[in-house]
Amino acid sequence: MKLQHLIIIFIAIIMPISMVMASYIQNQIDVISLQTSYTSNLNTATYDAMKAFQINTVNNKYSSISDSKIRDIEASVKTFYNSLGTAMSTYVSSQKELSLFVPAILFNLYDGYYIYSSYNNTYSPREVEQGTNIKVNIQDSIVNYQDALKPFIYYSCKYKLGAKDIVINYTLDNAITVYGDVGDGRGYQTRSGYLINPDYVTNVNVGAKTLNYNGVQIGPEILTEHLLTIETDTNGTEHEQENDYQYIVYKNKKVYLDTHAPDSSKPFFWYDNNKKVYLESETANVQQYIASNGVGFKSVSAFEYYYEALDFSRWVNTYLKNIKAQHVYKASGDFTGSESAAAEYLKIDTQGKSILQTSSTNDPMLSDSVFNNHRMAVIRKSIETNLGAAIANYNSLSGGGFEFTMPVINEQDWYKVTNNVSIISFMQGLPIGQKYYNNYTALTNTKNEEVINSQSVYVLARDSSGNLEYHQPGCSKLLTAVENGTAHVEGTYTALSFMRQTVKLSEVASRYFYPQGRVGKTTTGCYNCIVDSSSDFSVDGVVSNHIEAFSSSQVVPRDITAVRKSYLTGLARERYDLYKSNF
Amino acid sequence: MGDTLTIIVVIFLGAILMFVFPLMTIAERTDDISELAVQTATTEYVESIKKTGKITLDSYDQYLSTITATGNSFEVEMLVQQLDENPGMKATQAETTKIGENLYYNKYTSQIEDELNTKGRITLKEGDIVSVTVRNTNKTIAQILRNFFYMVSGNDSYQIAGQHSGVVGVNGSTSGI
Repeated sequence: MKLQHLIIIFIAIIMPISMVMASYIQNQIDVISLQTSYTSNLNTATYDAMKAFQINTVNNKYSSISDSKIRDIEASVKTFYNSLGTAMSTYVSSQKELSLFVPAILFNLYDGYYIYSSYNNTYSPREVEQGTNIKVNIQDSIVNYQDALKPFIYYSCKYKLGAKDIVINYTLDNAITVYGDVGDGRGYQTRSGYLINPDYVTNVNVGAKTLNYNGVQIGPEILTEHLLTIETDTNGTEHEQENDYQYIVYKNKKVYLDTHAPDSSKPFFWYDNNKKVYLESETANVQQYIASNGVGFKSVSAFEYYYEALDFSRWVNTYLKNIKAQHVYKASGDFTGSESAAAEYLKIDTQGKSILQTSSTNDPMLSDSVFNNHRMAVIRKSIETNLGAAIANYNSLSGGGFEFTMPVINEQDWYKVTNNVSIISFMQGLPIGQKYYNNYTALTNTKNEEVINSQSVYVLARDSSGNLEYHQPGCSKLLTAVENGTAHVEGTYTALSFMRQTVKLSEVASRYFYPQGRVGKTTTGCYNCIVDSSSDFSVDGVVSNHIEAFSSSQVVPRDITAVRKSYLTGLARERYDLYKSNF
Repeated sequence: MGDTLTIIVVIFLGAILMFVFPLMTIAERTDDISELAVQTATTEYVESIKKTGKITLDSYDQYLSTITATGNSFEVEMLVQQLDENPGMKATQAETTKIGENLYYNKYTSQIEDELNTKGRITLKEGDIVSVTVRNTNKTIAQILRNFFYMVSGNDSYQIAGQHSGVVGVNGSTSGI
């Protein structure tokens, strides 16, 4: 056989193999590229949904009220589908088609969560008589799938120990609600409050509204905000005015004091629709509230937080100190019974330690306490169970082809979800080549009015020229400046009050202001910890008065008393003043 | 004489068709797959930074080992742009009708690596921008063959590259994991 023939035979054999291989590899490359692009789109859409939720809740004065919150969440879902639909318009024909691949979206809020998913609405407009008087509108035979929010689910867990039979609702911070019989002879009862270590609270002076918490004195504080208001003069012309006003929170609403009010007998106002709305009949109530506090026009929220938490924590420590993980009832109704079974069920081993007995070794304010670990495990279990069921139920709607199951959510995402307001979105069953796409995105948010977590407050410090700078509590620059006396701590406020607020005068004209700005002075973020965002010490270190450097090259320990006092006061005040619907 | 010349030409063509052509095709394919792996790893890395607001030494090392597992050496260029709203805050307070312009401060690869080596992590905030560009520094077989046949050479020629960037969506936590 000639060489030419060999070459032809070689090409005849190799060419088809090479072409098939090339096509297969190209197909695999396309699959992975598509998968990466879907993940990117899902992340972006979830981020947009979170941003929409953030903007809506921050600018909605009634966002804490259930109906209003549902509206905000539904708007967020719409944003999610709009964003995902635009990004994926090449692959899917409509948003409706896209929604078939999204089995569930989880909205994780302060004391519970919503699952946005498809469900069979068996409600029928036709009434069906059952028995003599009962009329129901339910028909099992109806198939009417709808995408909507399922009922709100609390982060709850049931415990039973002897006569004690209780359910505890957890939250994203140290607030809990206890329902049931705690065995004190009073039968079924409900109590809510913040759980702290009661041993830390000493020298309580109810008259002066002061107490000591873990070495720092908590007392009344003067709070100030900078407002831009629209004033109407005698000619009916509107003009804007900027000023600093002191405020207190009365009945969950900020009441400002205007020392130059037109009527000096009615100096209090609410900030509504960018205008000062002076209190009329309510003035007497506010004055009575201030008089009953006995400390003048100052906020006593921080004191009230620790004082009420002390009472609640003592009660919990008396009646619920023996509650351990082994006393947990499973969602199925079975008793866990042993620590090992509880550890397997909750996926965390609390080693037989009491969950609710607080002490210096179990301080609920710290992220690594037994209480906190158990709290996170309960939230995780609850979400896993209900989300798993919602996604599995989605199979009955999808009609086969792809089996929807909840993917494994990694530990880091669980940590974020159990500590912050967050959204988890799922996208499954979208065909990519020979495979199906199956992924999720978990995104958290710290700028909202749902929860004040340990890192969503900033410490405001004033320098010698009167200008203000805000810091994270663990900022090395702040601690040094306060130690050296070059700056002094002004107060601690929620991160939201450092965000720019917009006053819309007309469609084309807007004005802007910062609530923590001051007239004639500047308020800026620290370049070390806000702009660079690299706080040197952890918040836990500030809370426990034991700051640990992230690197060994930094100096410890340091005197952080002033910053710690402001932080613990501000955090308590902001948490106490946050509107909570179930407390 | 004529036959001998034909045989030489045929051997030469045969060698190209039977050895060089398949080798080039496979080498190019290998680079395509490497590029895909690098692009996927880069996208995942940047997306994880966007979601967590954090760059850690561990995740950076893991990213580097993922891309070097393709058998090539890489030059990784990272850029973190940190949003500074302070000029805006100052301008707004001075004149309420203006929204000041925001600035971004850049941190480049060497600064990022230094900070990671000292602190072990870089925390980012909502609004910061992170971008990662990676390209190979070694000569892959496909590059060597191509340079040989096409007479192409130069330092800037690279075969495997990946790039991804995005805006950080969450404030990185300074405590916990």
